[in-house]
Amino acid sequence: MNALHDRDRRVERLLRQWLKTPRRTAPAACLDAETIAAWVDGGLSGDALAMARSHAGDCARCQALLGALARTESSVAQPAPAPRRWLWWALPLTAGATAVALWVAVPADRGAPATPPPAAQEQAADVGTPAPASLDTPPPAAARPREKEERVTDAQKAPPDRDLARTDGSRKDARLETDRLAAAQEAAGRITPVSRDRAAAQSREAPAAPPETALEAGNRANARSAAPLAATTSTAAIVVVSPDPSVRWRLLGPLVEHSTNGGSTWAAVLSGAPAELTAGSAPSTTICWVVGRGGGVLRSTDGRSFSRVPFPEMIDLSAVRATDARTASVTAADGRVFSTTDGGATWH
Amino acid sequence: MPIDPHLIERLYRSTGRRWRVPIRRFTEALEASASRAFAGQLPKPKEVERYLTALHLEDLALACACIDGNEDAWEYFVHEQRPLLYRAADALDPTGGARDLADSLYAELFGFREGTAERGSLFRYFHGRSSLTTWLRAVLAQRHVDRLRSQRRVEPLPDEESPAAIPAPQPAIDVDRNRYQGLIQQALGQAIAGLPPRDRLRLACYYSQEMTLAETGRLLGEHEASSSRHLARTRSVIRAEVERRLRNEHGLTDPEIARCFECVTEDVGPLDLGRLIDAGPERKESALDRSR
Repeated sequence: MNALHDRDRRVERLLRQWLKTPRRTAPAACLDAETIAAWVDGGLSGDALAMARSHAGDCARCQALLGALARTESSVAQPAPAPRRWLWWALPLTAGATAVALWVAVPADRGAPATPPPAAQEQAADVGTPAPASLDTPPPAAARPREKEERVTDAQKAPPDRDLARTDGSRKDARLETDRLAAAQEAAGRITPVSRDRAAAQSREAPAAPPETALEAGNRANARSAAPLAATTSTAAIVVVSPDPSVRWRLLGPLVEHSTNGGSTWAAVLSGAPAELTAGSAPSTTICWVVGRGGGVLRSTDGRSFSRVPFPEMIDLSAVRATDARTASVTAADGRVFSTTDGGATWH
Repeated sequence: MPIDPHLIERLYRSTGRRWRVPIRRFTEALEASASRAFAGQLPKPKEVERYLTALHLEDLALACACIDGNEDAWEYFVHEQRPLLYRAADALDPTGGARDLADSLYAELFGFREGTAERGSLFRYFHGRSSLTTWLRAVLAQRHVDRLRSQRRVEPLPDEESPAAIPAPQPAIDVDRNRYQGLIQQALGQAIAGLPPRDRLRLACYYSQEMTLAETGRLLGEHEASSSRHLARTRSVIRAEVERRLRNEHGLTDPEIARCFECVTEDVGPLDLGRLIDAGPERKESALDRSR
């Protein structure tokens, strides 16, 4: 069993290398952007959906397009339809009377009240409307995609993502629970490609999700985006807060940003990390450990410059807990925990 | 594709009027969308109605209004979508290299064709099957990917003395190791090619595009836990198929097969692009024979 497990891990290593090699595009015409968008938003069904999946399974270009689209998903915060009306109302138009007349003219069956309540303007601000005078300015940092703050990434609180090598009998209970959860959700019809109606309903009201299991909490810690499709996952940016709340780091895929003013402004300190970063731990204002997929471990001892820490295996890492620049514990996606007390020179 | 006028009227009343879109324009947009979705088919009226009512009609109406040059619609679109487009561009390239794509996309949406009543806007390719935001992201992603792929094709090899030069192959210290690496790569390619398309797509999403399990699951219409299970199953299938091919087609013994897998370390060896499997002909082979 161990030999097979070891071979499976080696196959995984091969797969990563093989599938990243540039390959040819499938001979059939590639999917266009409109079809891809429809697929992602649940607008394809039946034969069209089957054909799209079949083509993309063989087409490097379409796979790259899907990957690129997935990377942009976390960057867009979709405001709920109701707040959009308040945004419209909140625009300081010079022709304010025109705006009022237009607002009143909205048909009653759309459910829009004549006068927006004061709270709506706060909600509009929360969504991050840029000032009309500077439409090219990105929304303020506070309105960036929702962020999950982690003061310390606790391996025990963030169970590893369900991943591939879990044949260990000690994980059987977790797998059974996951399967039961998946089966229950499938039966409840929550795992089919989300229709627009359901997505819209989810954006308007909090979904009645079942109590979150520890596995779901772990998956949320690893999820990259907060699409309206998956009620159990959250947005992508991971914030790692030091003991001083004003000093923090933000992980956005392979990018790391640093803030010394509590997140009001951010400065990129690392770009192009080898793989997506999944968790971090900052035991002080200058020491920060981050981990990611494919055995990626990075550490900073001055808060700004990161260097790669050798790690023995190319496996997805899902959590890290550091106590200082030399001592840290890293949890892999398959549940194994690796610890170092010499800054990563050796792991056990 | 003809559509019931009453249905059009009902849909127009709920969405088309907001931007003062002429009903003729709105009808054309609905017909174009339905024609694209039902190309080559004869759908029943109920199917057409179900399809049209599920469209992102507000976004479709907004697109129609923008095509017509409605200033209010443009103001709304710029206010809502332009920041999102820039953030998407930054997500594609954190160094800001994709912003020019966002700018040119924006310009094409506006349409700069002169001398015609209708702007040559990119909006005419939006059919409401997705949200406008998702469509814009997809168009931006497509241009980004195509630009990267074209740059890859034309990028010249570095000079031999340049630090970026590909080093000359090291003399083979272990001939068997090189052979084993080649055999296992070949068997791997054949094993992958024999998988069902859905499994290949799942592998590509997770390993090649480095999507999370959640993103992979959404694309395939399955829960992320299911994606994880399927990936584990597929990997085992690939491993078994690789072993079978090494044994049956290359005559390796069990110890030699074990040696093949041991050769897979950090360095999986040089990948010969010429041996990459062409997906079309290879897939015409029979599916994996798991009964052997």
